[in-house]
Amino acid sequence: MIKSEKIQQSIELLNKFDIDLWLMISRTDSEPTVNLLFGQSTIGLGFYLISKKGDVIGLFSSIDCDYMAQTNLFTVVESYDLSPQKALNRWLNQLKPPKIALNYSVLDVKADGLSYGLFLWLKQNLKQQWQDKFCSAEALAQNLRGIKTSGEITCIKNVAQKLKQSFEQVLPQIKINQSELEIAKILNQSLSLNGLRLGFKKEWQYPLVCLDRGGVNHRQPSNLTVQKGDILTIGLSGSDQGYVALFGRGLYCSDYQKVMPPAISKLFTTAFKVIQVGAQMAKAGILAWQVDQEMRKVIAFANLDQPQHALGHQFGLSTHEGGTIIGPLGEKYGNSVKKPLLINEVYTLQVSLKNNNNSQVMIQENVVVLPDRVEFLTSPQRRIYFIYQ
Amino acid sequence: MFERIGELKVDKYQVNREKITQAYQLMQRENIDMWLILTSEGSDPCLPLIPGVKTVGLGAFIFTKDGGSYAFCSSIDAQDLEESNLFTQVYKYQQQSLQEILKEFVQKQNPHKIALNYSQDEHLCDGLTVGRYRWLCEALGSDFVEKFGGAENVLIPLRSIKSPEELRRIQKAVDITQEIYEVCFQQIKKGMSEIEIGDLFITEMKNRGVTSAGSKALTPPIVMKERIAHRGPGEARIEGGDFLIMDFGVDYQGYVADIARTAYVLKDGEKEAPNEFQRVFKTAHQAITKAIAAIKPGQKGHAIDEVARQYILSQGLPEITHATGHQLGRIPHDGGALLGPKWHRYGKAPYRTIEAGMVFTVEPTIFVENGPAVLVEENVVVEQDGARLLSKRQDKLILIS
Repeated sequence: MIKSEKIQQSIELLNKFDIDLWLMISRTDSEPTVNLLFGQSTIGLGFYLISKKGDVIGLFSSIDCDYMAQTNLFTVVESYDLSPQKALNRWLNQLKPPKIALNYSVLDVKADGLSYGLFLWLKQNLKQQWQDKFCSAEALAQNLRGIKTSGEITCIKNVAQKLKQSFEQVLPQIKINQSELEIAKILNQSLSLNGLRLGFKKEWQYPLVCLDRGGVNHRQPSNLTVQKGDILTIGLSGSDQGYVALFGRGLYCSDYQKVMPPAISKLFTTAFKVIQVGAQMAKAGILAWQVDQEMRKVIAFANLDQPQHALGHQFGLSTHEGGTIIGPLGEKYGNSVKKPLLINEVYTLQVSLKNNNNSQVMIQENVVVLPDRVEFLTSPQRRIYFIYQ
Repeated sequence: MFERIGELKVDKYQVNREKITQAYQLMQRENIDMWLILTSEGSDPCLPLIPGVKTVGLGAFIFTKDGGSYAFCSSIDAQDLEESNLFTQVYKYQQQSLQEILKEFVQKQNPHKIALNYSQDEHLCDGLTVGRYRWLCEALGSDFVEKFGGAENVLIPLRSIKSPEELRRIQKAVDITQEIYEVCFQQIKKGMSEIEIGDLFITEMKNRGVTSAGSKALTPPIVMKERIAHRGPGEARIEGGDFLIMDFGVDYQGYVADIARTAYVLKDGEKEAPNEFQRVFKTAHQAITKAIAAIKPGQKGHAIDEVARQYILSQGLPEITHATGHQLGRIPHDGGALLGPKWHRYGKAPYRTIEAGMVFTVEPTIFVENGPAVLVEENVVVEQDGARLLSKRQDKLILIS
């Protein structure tokens, strides 16, 4: 269902950007846009041709043909037998496209699925007349990935709700003296019970469970144990039917009797405010950097250091989906922050704040962009979670 | 850097350290001064092998012929890389751009040959994308672009020739796979659907804390009584007179097995498979025996394929429609030398030389149109004097009643 929606969307985008043919090539599961559209990988070299007239043509080795035909996503599936270049040139001669979009992009990793070796293959095997028609499919790929269909939004919302549920189920089980790793294992069990797989890449076995004493970074949980005075960050990502959502929460480990130190309290309240301002600013049409800028004003007002990361990014089939980024202007994020938010894109709104004592809090929420506002996919964190025992 | 597995404290980067050492030797052999891997979001398929860590943001890994290993990453990605102790130095970019620190480093090293991960033939050596290649050209400038070349000659042997720890893990994956087969065969009965049979394998993987070799998740193996293809199990139920083919392997600590087995479903009153089915099975079995005997270091992959292929044809049975065998390691199709025919679609792979330390599947299949279908797949490691079996062979047809 979702795949059919995405194919239809790709044809609409070809017409919108006036590109005649989108040519994608992959072998195994190397191509992110092929995965987004077709959800299947091939053993051998596979060619995917989508025309603005609505042709969806797949050229595969004989071993992959039946499997791909069974997806019912193609108008034509053809085996290229011994000569893929002959089959491809023949189809190009038939379609005669004035413009052929290929998946390469200097700035966006998710729109940059064509490997350099396969590009050399195209240069070697396609007639010069077709090579002269090449252009980047960056805009097509970014729109296709960014703008979610109704099926995708339903799926992502469902995952976000289950992540929240998993977190709430684990929350009462988190105790002082537990290690990051022990907490991560409990979270994994809860995700599994809620029917979710971990949404991070395969190499990551656990959710993000970081005590600020050990650094709040992209790192695996360690044997460091929860102690009073720590801030614990939990970053969950779960996936269902291939789609992910993200969920980041900050917890404070304390004594019942003690009043929370003002410096810690300030970190949390500022983080809540940053997200709130981001959600108030974001809507279709606003430029991404403008949202980031307003969020950063809250941080500056609180006299805290600005985070080095962007304050929001897209997600969907993976946790970082490229395209438009809610980040600051400058070389690091280039043009990706200069674009407007579009209706039905989904973003994280997130912030990681640190004070002079190295206390650190990270919060991450998910929103979907609507014409005049954004909608949170789960209720945002508005209070501090305490760990007392 | 260390993690606890049961009572043992093990270095979780042991394989990666072995591979980095092997890479230096290969770079010296190929006279490559610098190997540069540019990545973001863990994009290059070589990363789990070498260096064994990844970056989320744009990052680079550089190995130099003199034994240097360097990581370049944003500060948010640095912690895991530093704690891995895999690198001589980890360079973090924050205010300065990756482009600046990378260019400064490469200029200082002044390499004559820079290997990049691109290849027309080997998808596992083709992790660099067009956009990132262009970024690199822009970042380093034309002086260095002239020195670029593919890293195939380092990366293919690095992936193919297994270290002792890699071989230990593959053997363990093979052992677990066969144990699961045995348990599942005790439960498979006439009338079950392909999906129900696939579920048995999922339960057994779950019980042993392993995942499926291809997906690295709890997904079913290939189970088919018809429609031969790389496909998941369907609703079809096994009846008397059917064949049943299963192609399955587990992932054990990042390394896999890939073993196929064929069974015959007895009709009421039958005690054994029909003669023609047995003849086809024996032919496939004998083709495997001959192929394994032919495997020696120094042989070309196509020569081994030819042995199995010709034997099957000599018995008046249909030609194998794919390669006789492929390498396995971190994934079921691990690239490099292929025991395959000199067909265009296989590129250079069948022409590559077999070397000691490589691990292959041997699977000369026979699919008779409207007749018996036999797929038996064994796993072997190449040693100095020939191939040694890692799997316990299927010597006779498995019968299901």
